[in-house]
Amino acid sequence: MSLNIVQGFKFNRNNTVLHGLDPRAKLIYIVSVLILSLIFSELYPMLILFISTIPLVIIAKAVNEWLKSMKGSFIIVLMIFILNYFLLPAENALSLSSSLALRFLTIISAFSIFFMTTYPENFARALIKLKVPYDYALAFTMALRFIPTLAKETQTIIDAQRSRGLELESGSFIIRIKRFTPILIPLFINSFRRAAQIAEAMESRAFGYSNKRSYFHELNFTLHDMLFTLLCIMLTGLGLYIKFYLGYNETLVLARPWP
Amino acid sequence: MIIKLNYPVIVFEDVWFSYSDLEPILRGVNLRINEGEVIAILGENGAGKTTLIKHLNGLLKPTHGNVYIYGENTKNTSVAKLSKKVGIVFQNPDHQLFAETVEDEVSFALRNFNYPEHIISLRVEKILKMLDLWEYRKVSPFSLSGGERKRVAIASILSYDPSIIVMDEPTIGQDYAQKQKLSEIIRLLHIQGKTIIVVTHDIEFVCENFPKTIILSQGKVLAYDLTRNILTNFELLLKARLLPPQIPYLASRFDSIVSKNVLYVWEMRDELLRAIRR
Repeated sequence: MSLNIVQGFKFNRNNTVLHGLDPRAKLIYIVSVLILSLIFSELYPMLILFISTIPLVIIAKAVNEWLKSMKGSFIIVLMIFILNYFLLPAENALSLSSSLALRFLTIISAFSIFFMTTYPENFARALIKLKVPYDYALAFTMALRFIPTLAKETQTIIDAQRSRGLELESGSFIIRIKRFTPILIPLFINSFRRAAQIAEAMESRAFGYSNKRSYFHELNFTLHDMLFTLLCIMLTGLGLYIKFYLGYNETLVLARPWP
Repeated sequence: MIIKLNYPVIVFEDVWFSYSDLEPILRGVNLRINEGEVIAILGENGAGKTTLIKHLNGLLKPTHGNVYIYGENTKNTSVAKLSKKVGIVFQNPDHQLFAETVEDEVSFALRNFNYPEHIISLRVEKILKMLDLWEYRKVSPFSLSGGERKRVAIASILSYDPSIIVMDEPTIGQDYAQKQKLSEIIRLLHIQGKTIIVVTHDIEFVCENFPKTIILSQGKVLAYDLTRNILTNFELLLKARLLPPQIPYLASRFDSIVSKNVLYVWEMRDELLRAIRR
């Protein structure tokens, strides 16, 4: 169950318009979504924003994976909703807390779209173009790359320990936490070992030989990317205009003062 | 001890298995394995060997069909309960080693199954001596070499004396002497009446130690027969993408003077001597 959410952030190899976009253009999309979802805290704009991510998911042909990421974040969304609903001292708590829950979903959805349609290598290239040092970009993409490996390895370790009579399902909370030791120790040790091995394998292929790297694939910002970016910027501008110039605002309607 | 022959302890009935929405890995496996049999499972990478053995203690349940262990359907039994009868040694020892000392590692399963302390220490001593690990008993398993870690993993299963023993690639990383040792252990376990199933790519090892062989290919049982019949059937081996062992291969080159189903060096020697004398 818990590993299902990973599916919604994994690159899928479909070949769609969104996959072809420059990661930088998609980063601008994420920034736009972040700005819009953070300036508005009202229900209708949030709803529109959330619904606006759905066509992109359909274009990316990743509805199933996206649904998994939505399902995976359900518990957190529920918690956001419940906490806000009961703790906000406002009369319109229902609409406010649902818009906060929607805000979280929207952000998850945007990131999900980004990661599902962006080849990790291209993401690294985009980061480098944005002047992030190569080592950091590489570390980031490698971390992404190893999430599925780690998930698979965790499963194998669980299988191996259950084969030796380890019970994970029964017992009190503390006992169950303790029983995870035989799973966590091999997982950590293997990760450290693997990190060392990867470092050796990379060094034996001359990693770090010179600071000037050349790239086999160069990213180029095409007309598509320009149009997409322009659209994002325009919509963000529109949002800012509505919010701050027209003063669209639904403030807290305080029912009682804070204690 | 009486070994009941022809009593099937493992039964696969039209077993299909797939992970959620992916391609099926097992496609209708039917198997009957009797008590006390020593069987090798051969097959190309991705044939479904590891998936198959994970069905033996219920780690995986068939998506279609049934697996019975000692007559019990794995769908209705817990992994812990099945594991007591079926000991699986996984391919990579690093996926299970975690304890501070080899001794603790080997007694892990015994403690899980609630054996009393005095029996644990006896079992651990016996098994560590059997696998040449006694001198390392106070050492951290992580400081051992690859081959030694593998043996610790094997010891940690053998320690609780399951009646079906399954090993995934036990010969990897073992030198010749340790492979011989492993052969001896398999023979010893066979004498004790254990049912032994070993997944391997080491065809010479199969040749020497296993009376029967299963060939798995693309999720199906391609053949289940005496090892001699399988390893001398080149058509079958080719189909399963396996290389014939050296002696049958040599025999095929001498097919005019040597009979076709020669499997061992001494058989080859006898056949050649007979041919020369003729």
